[in-house]
Amino acid sequence: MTAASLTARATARRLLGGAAPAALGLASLVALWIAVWARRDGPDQGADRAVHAILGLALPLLLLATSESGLGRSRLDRALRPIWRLGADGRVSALVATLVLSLGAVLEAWVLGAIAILGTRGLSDVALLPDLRATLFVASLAGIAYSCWLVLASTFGRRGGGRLIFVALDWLLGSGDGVLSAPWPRGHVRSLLGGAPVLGQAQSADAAWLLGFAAAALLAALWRTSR
Amino acid sequence: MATLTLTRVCEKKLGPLDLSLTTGLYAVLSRSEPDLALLVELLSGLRRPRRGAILLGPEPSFGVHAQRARVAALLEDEDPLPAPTVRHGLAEIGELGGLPDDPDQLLGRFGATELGRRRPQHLSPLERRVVGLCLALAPGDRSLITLYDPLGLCPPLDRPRILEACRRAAESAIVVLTTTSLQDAVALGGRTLLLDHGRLSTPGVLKGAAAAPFRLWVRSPDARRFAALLPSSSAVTGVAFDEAHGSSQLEVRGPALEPLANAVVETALAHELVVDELVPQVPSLTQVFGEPR
Repeated sequence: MTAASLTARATARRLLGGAAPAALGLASLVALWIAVWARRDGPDQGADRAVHAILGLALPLLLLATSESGLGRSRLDRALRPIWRLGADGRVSALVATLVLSLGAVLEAWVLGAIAILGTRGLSDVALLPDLRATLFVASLAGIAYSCWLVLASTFGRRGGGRLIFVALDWLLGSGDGVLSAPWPRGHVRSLLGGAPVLGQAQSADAAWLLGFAAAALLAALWRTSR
Repeated sequence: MATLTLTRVCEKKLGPLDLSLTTGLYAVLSRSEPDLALLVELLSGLRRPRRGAILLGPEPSFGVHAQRARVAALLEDEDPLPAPTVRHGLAEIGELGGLPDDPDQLLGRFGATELGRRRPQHLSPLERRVVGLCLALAPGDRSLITLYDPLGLCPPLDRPRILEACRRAAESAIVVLTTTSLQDAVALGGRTLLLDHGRLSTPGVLKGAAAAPFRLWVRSPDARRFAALLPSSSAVTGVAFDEAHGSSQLEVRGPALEPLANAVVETALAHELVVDELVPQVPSLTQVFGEPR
């Protein structure tokens, strides 16, 4: 048993034993309802609308609940304290916890993305597979980006209240397409899904920005957990 | 020999703290629980002091993760390791930290075996601290053991067992215990440090009003015979009649309350004396620290 494996187990247990499975169930029902509702606009336009609504609105809220659950509704340092106390390297523990949260986030994003596409297109649509592949790619990037940002946000506030502030700022500032929206995942996810581009960039640049800012957020979180 | 050195340590309302401790048992007495909780977090390397340095041996206690493996702590608020059961979590900690005892033995030393079957998330804050104490006082290669109010866990834990475990641990490590109870500070029996208004005194034996801090009023028709017999007991440092009650009430003083009461009861049994009432008087912290500013 190493400190890294103990951290991974502890984070996974918190995720599975906390509110994350129930939140995923609820988000899946909401996503299914949105997909069925969007189906009225036809498969192409309906899929676009459903994916935007689900990955743009429902996913950040689900990932907020996931990170709350995975970190035991507390700050990052407090959540990892039982392991740090045993002599574990704090930064390695924080990195492992982020990886576990990212893995959970990607799986949840896949579930929501798949519901959006399957719900609007149905199994017989010829565009199902290419659309599903593209959506799951964007969902993966969104899952990784949001979980890294939420880990950074978890280093603020007495009980990790920075997470809620991050989601609010992402929603407020990330909705635009100017300079202020550049750091936030929301704008880039919207652009990757075919919405308005951030700073007029190409979609390939959005993926790079999304991952670049996520990496910066992760490094900042590790720097703040200087133990 | 382990050494712990605090140099100009400042944090919130604490400090500057300057201190040097070597292997042994120390009790930190304060009337401020938050100050004591903060001190335990600082000493255990879980919190970086705003200013100053805390060295365990030659290395800082904060930021050197290998150092934390040499420190055991019982915090004011214990966070359990997520696991299916407490026993499971302790077994995993044992695999990582090389605890010599199995989880049942670890909990059984303090009579807390039944907690092993429970889910850590379902433990009450007190039960979490009980598990934390069992872990902190587990045998192992520790240089520093710092415990927030360990005697506050009695009951449900057994007070003599905790005291004995602390004394045994202090043979090879620096053991720092904190308390807001003068009686507990005396019972711990080590050198006492006073933490008052954020400042720590140098380790020493409690003086002044605290040197013989406990009084026991013995109401008895045989008070005169008690007055003649009790001074021979090692637990008693002074005997006096209460002027207000004439010769029917005796004030007996000593450094610890329990031995004082035992001495009275043993004397009564041995000489067939009657005791109507025993009234303990525990001095307040005001007698040690003075009036709050």
